[in-house]
Formats: sequence, C-alpha cells, structure tokens
Amino acid sequence: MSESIDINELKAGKHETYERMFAGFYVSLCSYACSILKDSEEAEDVVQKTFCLLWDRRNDIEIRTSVKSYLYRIVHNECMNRMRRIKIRSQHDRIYADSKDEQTNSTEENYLGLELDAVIRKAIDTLPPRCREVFVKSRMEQLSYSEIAEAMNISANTVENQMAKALRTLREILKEYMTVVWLLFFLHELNR
Amino acid sequence: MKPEIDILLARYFGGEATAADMVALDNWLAASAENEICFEKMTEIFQHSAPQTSVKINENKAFRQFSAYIRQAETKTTAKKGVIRTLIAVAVAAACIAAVVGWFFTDAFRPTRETVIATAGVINNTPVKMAKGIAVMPDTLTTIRYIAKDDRLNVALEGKARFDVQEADKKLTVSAKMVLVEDIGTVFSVTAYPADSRITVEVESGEVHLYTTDNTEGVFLTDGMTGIYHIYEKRFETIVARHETTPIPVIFNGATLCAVAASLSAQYGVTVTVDEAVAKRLITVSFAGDETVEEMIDIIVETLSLKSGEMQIND
Repeated sequence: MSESIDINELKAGKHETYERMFAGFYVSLCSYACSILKDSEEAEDVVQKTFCLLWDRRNDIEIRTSVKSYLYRIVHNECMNRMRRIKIRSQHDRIYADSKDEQTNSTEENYLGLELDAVIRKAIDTLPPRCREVFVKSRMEQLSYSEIAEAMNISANTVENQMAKALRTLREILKEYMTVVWLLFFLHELNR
Repeated sequence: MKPEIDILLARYFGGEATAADMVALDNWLAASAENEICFEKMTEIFQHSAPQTSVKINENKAFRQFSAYIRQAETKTTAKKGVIRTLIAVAVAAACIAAVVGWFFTDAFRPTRETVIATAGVINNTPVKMAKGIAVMPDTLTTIRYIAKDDRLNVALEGKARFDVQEADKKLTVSAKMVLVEDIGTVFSVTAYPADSRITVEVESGEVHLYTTDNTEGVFLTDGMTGIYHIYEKRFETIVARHETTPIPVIFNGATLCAVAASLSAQYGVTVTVDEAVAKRLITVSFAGDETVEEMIDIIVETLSLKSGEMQIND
C-alpha cells in the first residue's frame, strides 16, 4: 500500500492520493490506536485527526520513511499524548483471556491477528519475571517509567533497560513466527 | 541491532520518547529498509501484546467525512489566497439559481426555455455564447442556468464565471444567491460558490450595478473595481484597483492544463489555448500574483517542457 502512495502527490495536495491513503490505512491504524486507547471512538478520533492534520500541513510534510511507518508513528504519539491527558486507565489490567469473548470479527485477517495475540502472550510469559513485570505494567497498565520505577522500587533507568530487554527478547522469540504471519498477510493482500 | 536502538524503541513504545528521540528514530528508519521492516514488526508485536478490544469502525462514514474535509478545506484555502477570483464565481452561481426559481414563479418572467451549463473539474476554455454579444466562460465546478425573455437575458450562477458583454441586444442580469448583478456593457466576473459567505464581483471594464432585492440601490462598479456583498451582514463593500495594491496569489494544485488555461483566460481577459495532446497534463504551480499572464505561461511551458505552441495566448 505505502509503495503506491507518492509523497510528492501528498505534498501537492492531490485529493485522490489522500483518499487512497485513507482507505488503505484507516482501519489498521484504528485497530492500532485502539490497542493503546482501548476505546474505539477515541481511536477513530485520533486517526481521523491524524489524516486531517496531514492534509492541513501538506506543504510542510517531510516523509523520509515509508508512509505506513510515518502514519503509525504519528498515531502512536498522539495516542500516548492522549493517554497522558485523559488518563484512560480502565480495563487495562484485564487478564488476556477475558478479551477473547469480545472479539466480534471473523475475517481471515482477524483470525491471523487473534493467533498472533496468543503467540505473543505466550512469548510474554517466557520473559524473565522482572522483565515481564515491567513490560506488563507499561503495556497493559499504561504506567509511565517513573510510575513503574516507584511501584517496583527500582530506578527509571532500570525500567528503561528492562523494557528494551523485553522488546528485544520478544522480537527474537517471534522472529520466525512474524515472518510466517507477514507472508500470510502478504498473500492475503494479494488475493484481495 | 545496537543496544541504543533497543533503548530508543523501548522509549518510543513506552511512550517516553522525547522530540530528540523521535528525530533519532526517524533517522534510524530512514537509514535502511531493513530497519523499517524491523520497526513494523515491532509495531505489530506491540499492538498484539495487549488484550484486544472490540473495534467497531464505520469506515465508510469516516471516509466520507475525510473526503468532504479535504475538499472543503481546499475551497477555503483557495478562497483565502485568491479571494476575489473564487468568491465571484460563488456569487453568480447561487444568485442565478435564486433568480431562476423566482422567474419560474413570476408570470412576467415565465421562461420559455432554460439552458444549463455545468462544469466539473475539467473545463473547456472556449467561451459559451448565451445571446448576441453576451458570452460566458464558466470556471470549474460551476452551474449556469439562463433564460432569454424579450429584451433580457437572466442568468443564475452557482460557482464562478466571467461574462463578456459587447454590443449585446439584450440586457444581462446575473443572479448569485440573493445578489443581482446588472450589466451596463462590460466584462466582469462573479464568484458565488455555495459554501461562501460573500459574493464578489470584479469588473475588468465597463460598469455593473450590484444590488439585492432588499437594497436595490446597491453599488455601481467600474473598471478595476471589486464589489463584495457580505451575506450575513447584508452589506456591500467596494474595493478599488485591488489587484494593483494587493497581488493575489495564483495557485494551481494538480490542475489540468486545460483548466489552467481557462482560469488564466478568465482572470486576465485573454484567450489561452492548449493543444489537445497536452490538455490533460497536470501541473502544480504557485504564482505570487504580480507576474503577467505571459510570464506565467512561460513558467508553465518551461516546467512541463512543452513544445512551442502547445500552450499560448491567442490574441
């Protein structure tokens, strides 16, 4: 998708290119935003505002990476900012299994997503205890590094190192699996 | 992967990244495609590492809203940068519709035959003859309805158009929303797009009478004058030689050469022609507004490497 988005056309304000970008990324960005905000409406609001902002500032756009990663970063940062502002904390400490009942979609894409969820959760369980605790507090409970440091009675630097270690470990554990998932996803997109 | 990148990613995903971190992340991503793939995988792991909530998205509705936003936003931007040009078209369009509706319900003006001109994104740069000595050059996204009745030609305009009246045997009245523009032998443009709160009339030569049914006195505009009717405030504003004091930027954003030629022709009172072979080529270019039309065409020809005669002024 991102390969077909011409950044020069974005800068030129070509309507069709913006609409194509919106159609190509809107749903996946909403899902991503929702994984952080845990609120579908909030997630949609963030993503819509992201696209509108991109349009409003089209003359100043500087994209040196793929459009996809650019969009994900904007949405990610906005979600994090919003989390700080409005302190959405509800339901973040739900245990993983509870959420399965809420899945309403049954598309192949979502099936892949669900399977990936399960694999990632298993991978998280294999993390060293302190490393896992830091990751869970950051990701599930949405605590800041300083809040985690205070709760666990460790320094913020240690939190940061443990978080980096957790991500690195997950990346290594899931390396092969992610390649298969990406391949399946790619084939799925081709067949669309 | 270097440990500092792990720390950078940890800060980013942990919501602790500073502005400097974001710049560093951007640099790292831009450094190689491999880094981007790694980042996208990490993003996916991050997304699926938390319990998923049910995502109920109305994609179609969102798409319609976004599409409307960017199209509306562009109209506003254009209006800001080229106030006069855009507003004139809006005025004539809406007023014409109002007038035509009025004529339909008025015995004295009951039409015998109504003609409609509607333009989309691409327009023909040839003026349309509405009656002897009266021609109109509609801009993009413009609708014109006109009826000839006895010694009058009544036009309803929504959008923007340039009217050229030379030795006409009928009296031209253009209605745009609630404003009426009565020609007294002249060349003028009217802008009245539906979204605008003002109706603008620019007079290139001659004289027009700009008024409303509530204020039949209105204002008279002569060469180089611009008249603006503020709809909500119900008042007229007159600007003298606005072009000379305040250059209005001319901006073409992904426009076809055909549309560019029509626009320049309407704005500068010349006939700009484009060879059919290149008529649909797109260009994005901005002019400060103080260039001559010849200079603008030279720049366009040079930018697109057009051959001699493919775009020129035929006067």
